[in-house]
Amino acid sequence: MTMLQETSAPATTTPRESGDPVVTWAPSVNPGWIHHETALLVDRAQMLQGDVAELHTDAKEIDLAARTVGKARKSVTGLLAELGQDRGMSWSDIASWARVSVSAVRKWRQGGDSTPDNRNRLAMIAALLDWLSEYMIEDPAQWLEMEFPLPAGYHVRPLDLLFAGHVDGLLDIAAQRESVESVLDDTDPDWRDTRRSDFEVFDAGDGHRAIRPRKR
Amino acid sequence: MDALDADVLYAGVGDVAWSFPIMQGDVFRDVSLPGFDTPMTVQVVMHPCVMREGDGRLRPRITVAPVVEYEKVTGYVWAKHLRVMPLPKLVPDGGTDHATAFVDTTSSPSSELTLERRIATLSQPGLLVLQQRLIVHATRYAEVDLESLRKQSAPVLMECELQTDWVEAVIERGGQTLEVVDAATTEFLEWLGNGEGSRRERLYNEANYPALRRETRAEIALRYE
Repeated sequence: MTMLQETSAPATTTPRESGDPVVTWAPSVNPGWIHHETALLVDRAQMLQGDVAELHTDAKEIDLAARTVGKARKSVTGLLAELGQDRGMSWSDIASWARVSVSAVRKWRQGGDSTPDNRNRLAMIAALLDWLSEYMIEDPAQWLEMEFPLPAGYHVRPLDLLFAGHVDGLLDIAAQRESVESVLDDTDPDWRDTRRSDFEVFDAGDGHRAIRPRKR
Repeated sequence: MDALDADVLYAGVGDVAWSFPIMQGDVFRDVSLPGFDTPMTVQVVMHPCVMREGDGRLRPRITVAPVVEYEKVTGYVWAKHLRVMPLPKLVPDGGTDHATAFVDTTSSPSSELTLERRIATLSQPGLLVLQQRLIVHATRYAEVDLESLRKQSAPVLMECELQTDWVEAVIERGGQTLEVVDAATTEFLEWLGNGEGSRRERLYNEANYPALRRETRAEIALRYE
């Protein structure tokens, strides 16, 4: 609406002093005004994007927390049965996520004592696996163990992001909102150097695998 | 070189569950070694891919290295003492630290390496760190990353994980005796070698692992629960 009101703005063309006829063409809209107004719009859009992204992050956390509360209704034994028997997670990965030893997980499976924090950690990963299933990821336990499709020599699995506490980035990758590279850039800026291997594993022909330098 | 705290290094220490199959990195006490006067504590250093024969039994002789009392294991020891595998808190509840002396590597009759004598078994990260240090000791090559070692050993580590689950379930039902462990191991190896496409062959594709765990745990529940 404002633009229409400004269409009668004076021309800004300066007459030349060469004696040539004065150019009387005038833009219908003042470019300076457009520059100013669009800059404001860009600023507002960026702020809005930031606000929405923050809201999205908060909503994800709240959603996962609510799902975790629901899952925590199960006992530790029940949660371990869900994660181990139904989902097929390894006990060592479950232990890493729960920040305990494999022996501790074994004791829990046999009815040993655990803390409310232990139970919540297990409930959280059970909730996360449900969430991944809803995002069309079949066999989420398998997805967590698969390496991301990165250039040769880089071995990064969703589990690595999970254990490092980057649940938010992991969910964005799963939902295809962020690329693996951009999440790694945010969470582990040196990953291109620190996570590169100069080796590859190959079938040695004797029935076992072996390691050799990766061809460049 | 990578370093690990004791609580990450071991999957079991002290009273080690018999459900863990004997593996590289296991520590045994009272082992009589050729050339040594008295029984010793030793660590298995033989690679898991070659420890067993076709039927899954241990080879007649297994490569081991003596474990000795050692100075307190610090970051410096992990980084600079490349002739040993540090074993912090090998004796639980405040005992001294130990280390495996690679320079005295020898062979032990596998009959000496019994489950009753086992006092520690390494976690998966612990086993990979041991392999990394063995490479350095044998070749002075110090650049092999743990992820490459993990991928190389993935099939045998997965088999070990599934076997542990299986034997553990049988022990819970039948008690921890050598006969129970032997019978359960035989049943597991037979089951692993069967099935569509052979479950053992599927160990060579990591994408199969969650499905293999589900199958194994369902079979355990069917047979023993």
